[in-house]
Amino acid sequence: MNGAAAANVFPSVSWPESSAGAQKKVDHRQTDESRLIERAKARDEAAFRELVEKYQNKVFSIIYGILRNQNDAEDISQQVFTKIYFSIQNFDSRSSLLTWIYKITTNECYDYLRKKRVRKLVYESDVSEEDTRLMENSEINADRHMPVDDRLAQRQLALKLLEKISPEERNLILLKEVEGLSVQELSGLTGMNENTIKVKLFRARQKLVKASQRIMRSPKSVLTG
Amino acid sequence: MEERIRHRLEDYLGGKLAPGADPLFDRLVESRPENLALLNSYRENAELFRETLRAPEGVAPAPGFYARVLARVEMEASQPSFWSTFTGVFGQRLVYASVMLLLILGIALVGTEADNRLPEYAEAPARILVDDRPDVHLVGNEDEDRGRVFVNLASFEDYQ
Repeated sequence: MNGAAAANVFPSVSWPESSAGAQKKVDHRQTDESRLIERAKARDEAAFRELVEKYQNKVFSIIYGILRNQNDAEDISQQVFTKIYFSIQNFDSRSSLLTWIYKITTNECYDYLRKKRVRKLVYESDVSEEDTRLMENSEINADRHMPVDDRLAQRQLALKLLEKISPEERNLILLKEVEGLSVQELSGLTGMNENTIKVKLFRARQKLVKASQRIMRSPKSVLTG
Repeated sequence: MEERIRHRLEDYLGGKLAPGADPLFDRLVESRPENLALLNSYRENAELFRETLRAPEGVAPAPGFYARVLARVEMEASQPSFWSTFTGVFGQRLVYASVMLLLILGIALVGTEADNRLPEYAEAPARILVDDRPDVHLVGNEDEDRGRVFVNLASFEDYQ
């Protein structure tokens, strides 16, 4: 995907242009974006508004893609921009603003999923031992290769796999596979060179394959995990 | 996995590596079934993420999103944090009082420790014996003094 194609994926988000074959480094400190960031750092409300309006659809769609729930996506999107407001002072422009926002967004999603799982465990602790035993027996007897909802099972598998890699690797994989960015574009956005991106992606893919093999071998299915 | 395959992996997974475009890559994949199996696993995972986590076109927050974000920012900004307790006058006085209390307790502890410490001679059994029995005299030779202590202990009588 080149810069123009990427712009179709993120209609209101500008991408650094990358030329074929040669990596063109983008200095994130010398762009319109940097001026917007400086204004937002100075607590300019108009700048913050511009920032929210520029990235709200992107942030919302990332969250919706992961959680598939309108209310959760709205709530976490608000939380992401609140975090951006309070921590933009710490943004050092080594990567693009979008990469930084993407990182905050995916971290918030995974925090939410973790809390949700803890809540689920708390509820499950109220179930009696007898109930638990009956449930476990029914799981063993059930055909684990025939989930109730294939798509739901696939989504849960994807989310579970992404939990097994580091936040940095997770962001790279999501940007590459879900957002469809090329290695060149990732290099431009993150400030890392293309070889580093390739090595990081390769390591992440290795871990994902191992994790998926472990999950498939596990006696508990993805739905029950 | 060979370096060549690693180097072209992203092109392969992104569909940018047409068959025949890189003969060395093709040869390495064809000649080793384990390479092909691994590539298939990588491709399956990549497809899994593309198919399950890509949001449908046109999803967007409801109108008025910025206003809701601003309300949330204002709400969070107005909530006092734990550390803000110590920035007020009461908090500062609390910190000063705690420091003073710790100082006083520290001094008291050190002073009490000094009073309770046993005098050096108290630890020597021969010295204790001399203090207790004026009829016993030490000669200053460690072995001989130890012998006198044992004799006195063996033939102990209440002096008073």
